[in-house]
Amino acid sequence: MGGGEMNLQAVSIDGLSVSFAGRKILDGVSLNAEQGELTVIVGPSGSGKTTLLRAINRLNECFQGSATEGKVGLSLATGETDAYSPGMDLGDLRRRAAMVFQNPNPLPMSIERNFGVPLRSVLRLNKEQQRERMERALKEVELWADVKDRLQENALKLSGGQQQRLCLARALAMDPEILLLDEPTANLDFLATEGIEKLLVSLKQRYTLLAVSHDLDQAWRVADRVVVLSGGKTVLTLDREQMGEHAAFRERVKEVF
Amino acid sequence: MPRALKVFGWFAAALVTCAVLLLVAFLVLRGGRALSPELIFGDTPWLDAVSGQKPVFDGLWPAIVGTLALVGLSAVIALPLGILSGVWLSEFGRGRVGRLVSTSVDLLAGIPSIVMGLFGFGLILALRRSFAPDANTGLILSAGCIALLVLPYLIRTTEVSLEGLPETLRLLGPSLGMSSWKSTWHILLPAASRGILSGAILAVGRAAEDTAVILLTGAVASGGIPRHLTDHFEALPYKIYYLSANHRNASELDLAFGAALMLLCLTGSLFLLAAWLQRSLEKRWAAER
Repeated sequence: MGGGEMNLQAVSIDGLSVSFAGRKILDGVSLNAEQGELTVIVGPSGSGKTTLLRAINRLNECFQGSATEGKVGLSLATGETDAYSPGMDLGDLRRRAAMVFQNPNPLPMSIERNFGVPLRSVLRLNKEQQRERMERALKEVELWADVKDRLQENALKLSGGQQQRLCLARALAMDPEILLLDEPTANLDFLATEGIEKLLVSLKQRYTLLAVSHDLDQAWRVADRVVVLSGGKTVLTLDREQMGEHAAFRERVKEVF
Repeated sequence: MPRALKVFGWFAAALVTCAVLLLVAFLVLRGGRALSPELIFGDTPWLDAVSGQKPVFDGLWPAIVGTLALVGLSAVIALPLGILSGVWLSEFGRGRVGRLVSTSVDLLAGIPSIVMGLFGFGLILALRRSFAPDANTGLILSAGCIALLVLPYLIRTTEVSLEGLPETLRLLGPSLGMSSWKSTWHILLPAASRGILSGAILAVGRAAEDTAVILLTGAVASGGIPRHLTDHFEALPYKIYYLSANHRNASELDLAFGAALMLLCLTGSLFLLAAWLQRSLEKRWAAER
């Protein structure tokens, strides 16, 4: 291999269709997300962005009447795997492909317990290991300094931006390989948004990031690759080079919306 | 139209409040007259009665103990069954089986308590004729029938309060790799505990006040404190019925009102206990300082 390193495809989706109670939400979507990159899925509301993200960690199956077809290939530390292969350990899959939601959803309990509950029940870590993981994750999202003296306080007392960082840290504490972010800044003010954006860019070295956004400007600022979803189909994929200038990018994406 | 609605809304709320206040005031006025240590313990010194050294003949004490035992036993049977059924219906009960269970719960809710009592009575008759000729009505039979009676309240409130939780909370557990049962146990149930508590309060109240079931399954007018699970027992609602049905003068009727006031106080303190229990569980769950 010559110049650069070959980029590995961490997520490769092919011919993915998802329907709920017979209503088709995604119709033959194909998408590749590479390791060390931040892939941003944009599209009008109702285009199926969230459903696409939830198809990767199979969270759609938490709802009644969901049906999924197609292939979701994941390249994990344990090897290549299809998320929908029979006998897939759902708990393990969802831990490795962690998700952060649009609305910050800390549990209404102390900051420490927010980590303790999943770390103990899923990974069976003891108190000391839980603390280590929590500290590492909170440092990763640059929240440790703010909360290290108030770990016993209710997580809901934190600001919106801090809550979202906490949720991100809680996902990271589970030691994931892929991060699925469902409009993580949709309900934050511009300052908190800026902070989270910076954080995401710094995290992509360690994790494969897939984010959904309704904000084209945000996509242009942070994405290495933009996938445009419309009417349940992928209508355009652009890498950083193809994205070009800000204005041109906006025009190009709007055309296919 | 919205204005009329507002007026009627106020009127309805005021009417309900007045009705409750009137009822309680009436009960306190008439029952208060009869309320005294003698009403509860008769001629027996209270310390001897409470410690069980001497039986109480002319007081409500055995009925209070009987009702508490009945409520406690039926709660022990109904709470786990009801909450678990509610969880199952809300989180796992899908398709035909789910609908079948749901319909059964509706049917159960529609069964009058006298029918439940008759069922318990019939059960004892059948047992006597078959493999347990010594079977008799008693505390445990009553508790079982009462538990069956209050199950629908527990099941429905658990189901509804779980289903009312926001989607972000429901998806959180699975998104972190928790199994459905783990997510339900560690996240959803504690978050829904307030709603479940309201169901438990309804159930406890219903268990404490029901007369029809115990009438046919083991309550007696005077039998002392039950010594074991199959003993006959006294209970406040039955005592109220007995005292008022057999009264010969106004002061004897006042005894019934006194017993009713005792029942009200008893259920009131059980509600407080339930609320305190729920709050301390919630605090432990949140682990905040």
